[in-house]
Amino acid sequence: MTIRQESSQSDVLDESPELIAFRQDVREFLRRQIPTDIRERVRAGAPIAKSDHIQWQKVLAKRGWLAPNWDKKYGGPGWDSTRRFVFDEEYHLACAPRANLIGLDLLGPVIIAYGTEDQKQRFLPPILSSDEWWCQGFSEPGAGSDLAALSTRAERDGDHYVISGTKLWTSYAHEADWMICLCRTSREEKKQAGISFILVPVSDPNITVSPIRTLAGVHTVNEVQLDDVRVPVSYLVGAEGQAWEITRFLLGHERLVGAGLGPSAKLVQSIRDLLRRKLREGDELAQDPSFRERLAFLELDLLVLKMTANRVLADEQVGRAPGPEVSILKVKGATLQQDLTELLMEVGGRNALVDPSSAAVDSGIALEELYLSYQYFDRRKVSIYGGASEVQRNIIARDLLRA
Amino acid sequence: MFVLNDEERAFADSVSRYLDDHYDFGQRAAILETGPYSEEHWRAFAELGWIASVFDEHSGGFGNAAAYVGILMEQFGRRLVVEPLLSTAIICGRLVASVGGREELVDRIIDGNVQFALAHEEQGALAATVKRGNDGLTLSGSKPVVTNGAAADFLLVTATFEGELILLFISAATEGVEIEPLRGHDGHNLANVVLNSVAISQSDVIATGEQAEDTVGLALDWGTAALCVEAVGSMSALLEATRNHLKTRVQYGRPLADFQVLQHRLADMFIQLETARSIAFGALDSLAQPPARRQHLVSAAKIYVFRAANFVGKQAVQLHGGMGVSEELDVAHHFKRLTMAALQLGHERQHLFRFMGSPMADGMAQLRPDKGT
Repeated sequence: MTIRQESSQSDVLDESPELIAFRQDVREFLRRQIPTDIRERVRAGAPIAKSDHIQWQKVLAKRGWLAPNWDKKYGGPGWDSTRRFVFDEEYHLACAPRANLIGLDLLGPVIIAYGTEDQKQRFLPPILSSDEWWCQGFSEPGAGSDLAALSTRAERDGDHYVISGTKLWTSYAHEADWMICLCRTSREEKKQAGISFILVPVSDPNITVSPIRTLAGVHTVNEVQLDDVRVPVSYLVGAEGQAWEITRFLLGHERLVGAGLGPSAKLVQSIRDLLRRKLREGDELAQDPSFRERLAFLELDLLVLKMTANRVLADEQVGRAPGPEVSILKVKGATLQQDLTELLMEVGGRNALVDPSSAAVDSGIALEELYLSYQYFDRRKVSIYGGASEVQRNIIARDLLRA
Repeated sequence: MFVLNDEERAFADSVSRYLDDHYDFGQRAAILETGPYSEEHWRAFAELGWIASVFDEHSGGFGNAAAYVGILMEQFGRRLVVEPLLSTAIICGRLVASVGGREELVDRIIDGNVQFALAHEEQGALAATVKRGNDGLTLSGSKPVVTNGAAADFLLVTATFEGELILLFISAATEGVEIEPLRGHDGHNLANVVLNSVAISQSDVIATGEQAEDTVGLALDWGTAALCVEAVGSMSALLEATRNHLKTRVQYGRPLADFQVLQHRLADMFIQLETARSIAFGALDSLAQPPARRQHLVSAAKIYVFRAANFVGKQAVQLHGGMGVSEELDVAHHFKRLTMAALQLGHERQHLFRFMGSPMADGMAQLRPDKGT
């Protein structure tokens, strides 16, 4: 069931004929190529198995669209930020699954910008072929939003680093082959300066991955224990102590990523679909105009967020350095996703009470109503990871009060 | 959309310079002591080309009128300018120019010689009526609290005529037109306008039916987008004032800016301001676009910007403490202007219904069960 307008005009971008054609091309490809069962699970907000991700990624890779942020030279499509913006929107609205983000969106651009030629040849192709999956070892028990407080150590020993410490909240470490491990390589300088960007194989026998179940009732995050893990110095990306600069580079490279525009657009679509279904079934609550008003206000928030993202893109195109607007996108984007999942859950009525893991396949609850509360619980994390909303406010205030 | 060309940038600088020299808070207060606005400033606006700039090029403007409206209204918002550029030029002047045939009058507006008011909104449904009698057409009705009504030489009046909308051009001096001057909390001039069997000639009719609806609709959208940008200017002045206050005001032995709860409040004000700016300028940019998109974005802007203005205004007053509620500080005046502007050019509910009903919102107001699937 699709209720999207056939119009391919964006509501915020002044789209050239080329961009409109591009959008149609993307939409058409996605409509034809995403396997139906995967699409329906994504539409329902259900978890997607790694094998399904791999199946889909291979289709995308064949089309050359798996790594939208990579330079053409390394297998990216060579899009500018406007095209990436359009692709992202269409991608989510088409209910395509997105995985291995750490490899595709984080490590890829970093290796391309900071990696040696050997690193490019060693690490980029297996990401594109879906043969190697990545996770991100940033947070620690003592270092969350205050990332620079991390204490995992990497001691130089000849041609190797010996790494010890604990990483926490590491998403998909149990399914990953490699981890980006931020390590302290020096203690003398200011705390941000002593951190290095080192690649570590998760299969190392001195690494222990332990599951953490989140409030959404699933296992996606982990604790990763490193006890004297030895990796060659050739796994260091950039120079020693350069990790902080690298993360700032990523921030400037991917200014819109925190806005969650695609996921929010998809949630709006899900709420509309569900409301229509409920109306058809004669659900009284769905007839209440106040529901539709709440949705209208959230759609308004989405429109405003897109307009703001558009401004940020325009700034990026004229070469302006990223400023506090990146924090605005993160704060507003996180709140919007959370508000949308809350409304979605409420529209769901009694089916939203059910823990999906307790429901048999033939339970009588349609797939699109099985994961409503799951999404609500799951999205609590978006205002915490990637710099909590409170930290974003600190950043904005610091910028304002400095002037 | 957000990048000015060289000419526009130079214009923006000159607007800013003029207002720096002539329109500080004390100078503004002096204007309001004697009149609803300053004739002297109005003449200067004309001489500096500010009035002309909001018109399209073929009517005497310089180029992209929306960009000039954006520049002027943001600066006007920052300075709380009370001269009625919005009513006379942006809403009425552009309307008159758009229907054609009154070029001389448009030139008089651009030269700063006449003032206009749009007498459209009423309490509830449109009740002003034009009737056909033995002696021709007459207009009767009342238009309460018309913005710039007390200063206007001419009124653009909406009424119904034989079941259709009619848009009329009426001199304020016409027999049967009664004007009761009022003043708003924001210092802007207002008037109750009563129309007692005002004789109408064919040349007073600007448009009827669908053409009148489209003409008025477009004028209101220009006005609304401009008002949103003015609000953005006003909010930026409040943010700046609040930031400076937090940095300098010492309590409990340290500047207020040291308290994290206040830092976060300031950050929230900034978030509201900047997101409001995005949609306000988006609305301005949509004025040249097809009606569906224009209406969608203008209504979105009116709702969002004035919700933001409500938050920023209240927080600015609150964070200034006792000084925030004093008339001696511009903070209270910005708060009042924002509050009054929110009530004009369509209430939030009206804009919400239009936003929800627009095809771009997928007609959520008319959401019906799916027939198929």
